Order: sequence, then C-alpha cells, then structure tokens
Amino acid sequence: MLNWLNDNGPLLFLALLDGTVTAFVLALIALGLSLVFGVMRIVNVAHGELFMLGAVISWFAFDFTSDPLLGFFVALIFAPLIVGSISIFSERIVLRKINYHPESTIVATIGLLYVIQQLTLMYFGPEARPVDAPFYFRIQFPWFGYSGYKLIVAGMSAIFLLGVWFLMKLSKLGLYMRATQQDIEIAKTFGVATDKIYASVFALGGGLAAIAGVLIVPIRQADYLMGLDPLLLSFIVVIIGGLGSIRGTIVAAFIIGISDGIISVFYEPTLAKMLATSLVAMVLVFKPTGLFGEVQA
Amino acid sequence: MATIKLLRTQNFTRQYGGLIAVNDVNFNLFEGGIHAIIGPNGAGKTTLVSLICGRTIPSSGRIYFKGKDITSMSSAKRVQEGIVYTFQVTSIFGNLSCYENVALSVQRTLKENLKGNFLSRNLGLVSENEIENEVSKNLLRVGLEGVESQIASTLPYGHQKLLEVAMGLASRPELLILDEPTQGLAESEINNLIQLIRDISKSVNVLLIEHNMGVVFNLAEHVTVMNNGSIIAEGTPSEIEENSEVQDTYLGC
Amino acid sequence: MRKKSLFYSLMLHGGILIILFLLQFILPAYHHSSVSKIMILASYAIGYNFLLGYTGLMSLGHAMFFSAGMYSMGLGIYYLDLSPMNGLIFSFLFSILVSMIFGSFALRTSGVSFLIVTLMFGQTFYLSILYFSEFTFGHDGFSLGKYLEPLFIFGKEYLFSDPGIRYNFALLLLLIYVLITTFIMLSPLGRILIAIRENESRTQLLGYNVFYYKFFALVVSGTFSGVAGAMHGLLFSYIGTTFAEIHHSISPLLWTLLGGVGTLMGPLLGTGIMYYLIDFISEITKNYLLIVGLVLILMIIWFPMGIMGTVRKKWFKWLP
Repeated sequence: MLNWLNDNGPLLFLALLDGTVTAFVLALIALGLSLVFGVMRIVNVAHGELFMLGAVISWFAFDFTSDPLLGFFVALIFAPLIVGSISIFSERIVLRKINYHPESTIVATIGLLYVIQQLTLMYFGPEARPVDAPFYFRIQFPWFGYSGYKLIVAGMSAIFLLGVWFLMKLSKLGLYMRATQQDIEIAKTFGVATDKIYASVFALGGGLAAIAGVLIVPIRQADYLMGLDPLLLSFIVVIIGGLGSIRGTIVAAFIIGISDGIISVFYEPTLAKMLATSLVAMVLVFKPTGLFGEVQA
Repeated sequence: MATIKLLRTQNFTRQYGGLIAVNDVNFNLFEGGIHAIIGPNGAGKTTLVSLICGRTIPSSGRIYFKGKDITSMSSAKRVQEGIVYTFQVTSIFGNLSCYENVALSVQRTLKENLKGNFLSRNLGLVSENEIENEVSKNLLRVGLEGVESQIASTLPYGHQKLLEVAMGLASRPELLILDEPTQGLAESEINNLIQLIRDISKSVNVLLIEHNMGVVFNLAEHVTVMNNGSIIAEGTPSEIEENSEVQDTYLGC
Repeated sequence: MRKKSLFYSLMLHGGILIILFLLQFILPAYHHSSVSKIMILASYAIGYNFLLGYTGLMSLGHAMFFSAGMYSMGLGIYYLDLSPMNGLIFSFLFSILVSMIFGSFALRTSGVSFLIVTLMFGQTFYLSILYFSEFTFGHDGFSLGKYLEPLFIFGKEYLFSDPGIRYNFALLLLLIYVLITTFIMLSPLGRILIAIRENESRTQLLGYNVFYYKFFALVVSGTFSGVAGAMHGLLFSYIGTTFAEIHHSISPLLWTLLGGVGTLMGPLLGTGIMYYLIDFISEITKNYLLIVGLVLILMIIWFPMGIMGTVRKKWFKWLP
C-alpha cells in the first residue's frame, strides 16, 4: 500500500485535483438541469448544447477582442445573456406549445439539440478552436506544476453555485420558484405568474450551463460536439443526487467528478463512463429518489 | 340472512404523512345482499375501499377475503380472486369502443377458465366469438345494447357509468364494489340504476359507497357509518336511522 | 366490425407488400439498394413501434437491441465460424436474452425514468463495445464479406451482397414483421397491450398483471430490433459502432413519429420519407441533422399522431 502510494501518489494527487475542478464545473451544469427538472418537471436534453454555446460564444469574444482577459469577461457577461435568451425563445415557441408534457419535451429537446448543434457547425465549423486563458500562472507542487487557471475555474464555479443558492433561499424569485416546485396550483392561486417563473428557470438553467462553457473553454477548446459528454455526466449527477434536489446535485457532482478523474487517470475514460451510465440506470431502477434525494410526498 | 364472513379487515390503518385516513378499522362484510358504507366527505370511505381492492397499501393491519389473507396481494390478483372495483369518476378507456372496453374484462375471465395448454392460456388466446357473446350479454344486462362500436368517451355520462358497471360485471366478481354509482346522474337514471343494482345483488355481493341516503336506505340490508377514519356505527338501515351518534355527525347536517 | 377492419388491413398491407415486391423489377440500381435499406430500417422501426405505439413505452435505447443483434451475428460468424443462417438464429436468441435482462430492470420504472434508464443502458452497451475493442474491433468495426458462405437457392449460388438477395431478404423480414404484428394486435393479447397504453392502472384493476404484458411487448420489440440489426449486418456486411450510438436509438423514434405512432405502416412510411429527405438534403449540405431536429420539433408540436395517425383519425378509422 505504502509502496503503491509512493509510486502513484503524485498521480493520485493530480487525479484528485483534476477531479475537483471537473466536479465544480459539473455541479454548475448539473444544477441548471436540476433546477429545470425540479421546478418544471421536464428533462432538457438540449442542456449540453447550451454549455457548448457558452464555449463557442467565448471563442467569438476572444476572437473579437483578441485579448484573453477582456474576452473572458465579455463572454462571462454575454454568454449567459445570449444563451438565456435562446432558452426563453425555445421555451416560448416549443415547450409551451406542447404543454410541458414530459415525454414530448424529451423528443422536442432532442430536436433542439440537433438544431443548435448543426447551426453551430454551419457557422462555427467542425474544427476545435482554442481560447487563451485569461490568467496564466502555474502553481508548483513538489512533483509537478499545476495550471493556476484551473483552480480559478473551481473558485469561480463555487462563487456562482453560492450565488444560485442565495438566489433560491433569499430572493423573491427564489421563493416563487420553490413555491412553483412544491405545488404549481397553489402557487397560481397565490398569484405567482408561473409562466414567467418557468421562463426564468429555463433561462437560469441555460445561463448556468453557458457560464460553465465559458469557464471551461480555455482548458479544453471549443467544438460543436462538446455538449454530449457534459449532458450525460450531468444527467448522471442529477439522477444520483436525486431529481430536483440542489444539495444532492452538488454532492453527487463531487462524487462523480472525482471518481471520474481517478478512474480516467488510472484506467480508461471509457470504463469510467461505462460504470457511471450503468450506475445511473441501477439507481433509477432500484432507488428512484436518488442516493441523496429527499423523499417526496 | 347468511352470516358467512366474505371479507374481513383487521386493525386496518392508512396514514398519509401525519394524516390518518383510515384508523384501526375492523370491517366485516357478510355473504349475500348489499352492504353500504356511508359517511361525510373525508370520512375515509374511499381510502377504505382503495385498501380493500389493493390500490392502496395499508400502513398496518391485515385483510382476509373468504378466510384467506390477501394483504400482500396485488390489485390485479385481487380482481382475479373476485374483488372488483368500479370507479367513482368513470375510468373507462375513452379512446376505445365500448366493445373493446367490455371485451377487456371478458377475455380475462374467459382466459382463466381455459383448460388449454400453458401457452394459449398465458397469451390469452380466447376465441373472438366467445368474447363477442359475453360482451353483448353484459351490455344487455346493464341496458346498453347496441353501443358496441361506439367510442366510449362519446357516450352520455350516465351511459359511461353503466358501461363501467358492465365492465365490472364482465369480470365475474364475487364482490362488486360500487363507488358513488349515482353521482352526477339524473333522477330517472338513478331509479334505473337502483333496479339494476338490486338485480345484480341477487347473484353478486355488492359493496356500495354512496352519498345519496335515499338510495342507501332503499337498497342496503346492512350499513356501516364512517367518520374521521373510524367506524362509528353498524347495523340495518332502521337501526342506523335511530342511532343518535350518527344523527349528530352525519344525518343532522 | 372487426372482420371488416381485418379485411381492409389485409388488402392494404398485402397491396403495399406486393407493390414493394414488384418495384424491384423496375427500380434503377441506386433506388433498388435504397429501398432494400429502407425495408430493413423500417423493420427496425416496426419493432420500435411495437413498444411505443402499441404499449405506450418510449425508449431511447433501442440501438442497444439493434447492435446486440448485429454484433452477436457478426462476432458469431467471425469467431465461431457459424454459417449465415446459424448466425441469424444465434442473434435471434441473443436478442431475446438481452431484451429479457434489460426488461427485467428497466420495466421497474416508467415515464421519464424509463426513458433515461433506456438511454443509460444503451449508452453502457455502446461504451462496452468500445471498451472491449480487442474483441469487437471498436470504432473501426469490421467487414463480414469474406467470412460469409454463399447461399444456395434452387441449386444456384448467391452472395449476400447480391442486390436481388438483399432486396428480397429485406422484404421477407418486413413481411414477417408485418404479419406477426398484425396477428398480435388483432388478437385479445393486442387488446390488452393497447389497454395498457391507454390507461395502465385501469388495466391493472381489470385483473391483468401489467408488468407481464409490458415485458412481453419489450421482448418482442427488442427481438424485432435485434434481428433487424443482424439482417442489416448480413446484407450490407458491415458491423460498426455507429449502429450502437444514441443517434441510432433516436432514428426509429423519429421515423415512427413521422409516419404515425401506433400504426402498422407508419414506421415504413416514416423511414422511407426520412431516408429520401436526408438523401436529398445531403447532396446540398452536410448538415442533414438540422433537418432531423426540425422535423422532430415540428412533428411533436403539430402532428403528434404522425402521417398515418392523422389519416386514420380524419378518414380511415379502420387503419391498424
């Protein structure tokens, strides 16, 4: 054991670090999906594409300003706004029309997924494009140096997560959202404009995914197919964490992010994904409230 | 009157969170005739019948049908045992024709009587002619002849209720539970229904959940009164009418 | 009434199948091979529709069944030296097994959970084909051509890649699927499946063990899909992971939605239209998936019943 640690310790440490960064970003994406599910009771299959859009917008901002730092902040402001508007738009013209019927919504958002993905392909192209990190410094550990930007990504994700938490707990919008989640009929009778709440939640969910896209793009380039993996991973997180539970989502993001990091480093990413997808299926079959979900009456 | 216990519940309780819908109920139903359960809204009548037919699982307590413990039986299994429930709010297959609706009930009972091999029994290979016969017999019995090809949801409401009863009868029940059969019906339809229920009760045990006191006192030989999840009185209609507690909680208002 | 609808549907489906049979003598080579492909894919869609249209269960993991059939046939021939026919039988049995295992887990869930469970199982299956790539040839896939023994029909030797063989095997598969589906759906068993689609809890309260019937429908649907996959591998002699991807699970959903959920000919119609639409568009642009997306959205908003479903509602009530 000690010998193993001596040999593999640095590698394990690296896996833990990478896993933690992944976990923070994943929590941000999955939280968006979870909010939408919790309040609106629908699964947005196009969620990963909103993340991809964030990354692509970030590249355009970088290309336009040709300054990594300025581009980063421009993207951080505009990506959630643009993606949020796209979300509201698609909520209006598609989801509302089918009355948020759960299964139809899945079909419709699969359609959205293709549309967003292919439009991006048409205007952005098939190649992966890099974006320079706004901050560049290395933190030197005894065994290796580590990108300081990655730690900043983790830190900023944490700030956004806290922001959402405060929004839910302290603001009026959060109160309305929670009320709608509990019982839409009662919320309506108390004068909550639930259609506006639905639109806001959908925009908020999309915005969070877009922010995650902006944060991640200096680490892993932007390409039009990058939405699929985060979609599957955040599905996994949301389900294991218990559908609609914020706390569960964040806990599950850490479990999945870190174990994904470790299995990917020591074994193979394919194996990590395989285990994760089968775990999710089993959780849904045998413990549908999720491993950390609150029991719903 | 026969006094064989057909159905018996023992300390039946059902809680929803903090709310106790059915509280420690020992309910006895005897063979023969019509038994009614009455009580104000929220008294636990519907929960009790849901527990009896297995749509709801009791928090505690046991249930016996013909002396057999059926507590852990699924609702489908209980139907096969002979406990058949007809819905308060009609729950027919609205998009299917009346024929299909009744045929669904018919073919299950026919299937069970099949002596054929394992495969044909389990795949439900019953001859369509036999089904057709049974369907028209059951529709005739409730007075709905000739509606076979009509789509069920296009029937008038009163006829949908009759269709529901026909589906119940086609299941060949030993105990037919009628949940608020007269609700939403016109006066003339109610009189027809009373005739029909009386006719049915000659061959089938009927458990009637009913609001309309006239109907209950007209039909039932035995009445159970529920309030706040418990049984507060039992007896013949005339005994119930004289019971002061019942008058206070129910008949008075 | 039943007899009448039986008669009409026999006429209609018999007619369509006869037309398909005759078409092979007049179609130019390019369309000849397209129609062969459409018939195989439509058989897959008929299998998919058996679950979605007649039992009301929407799956996002049918690529698993399709590729399970395809791979078991291909690997069986490659490693076990099976003859093509034994390969088909092997894949048939393997598909039943996969469907039964899958069903016993997935059917404990319903609605959206069922969708996600099927998606996840499908993805696990896809990833395991990649993970065991030494055995399955991973991303590259493999060609069966040189391992296939030729067929002998009336003493003459045919290859599976022969266009006539392709066309008629595909047609035969389609014919068998249409016959089995018609037979089941017009039987009392079919009535129970439809009852489950219409109102599951009510069906339970008529005394039916609903799980049992859903399980049956899933095994039929999975086996149909698996054998269609095996046929596809056999006739086009290529086995690859593209047939296990999520996209290949969404395709039969799209074809079925377009053609008409719960109609017998809907899947064939939907597959044909989509095939030629994509074929046409990909000459102009590579982004044919954009059209797939748009069709999905438009169908679900305005024509949730699909082409045949709308036709049935408006004009021909007897349409199966």
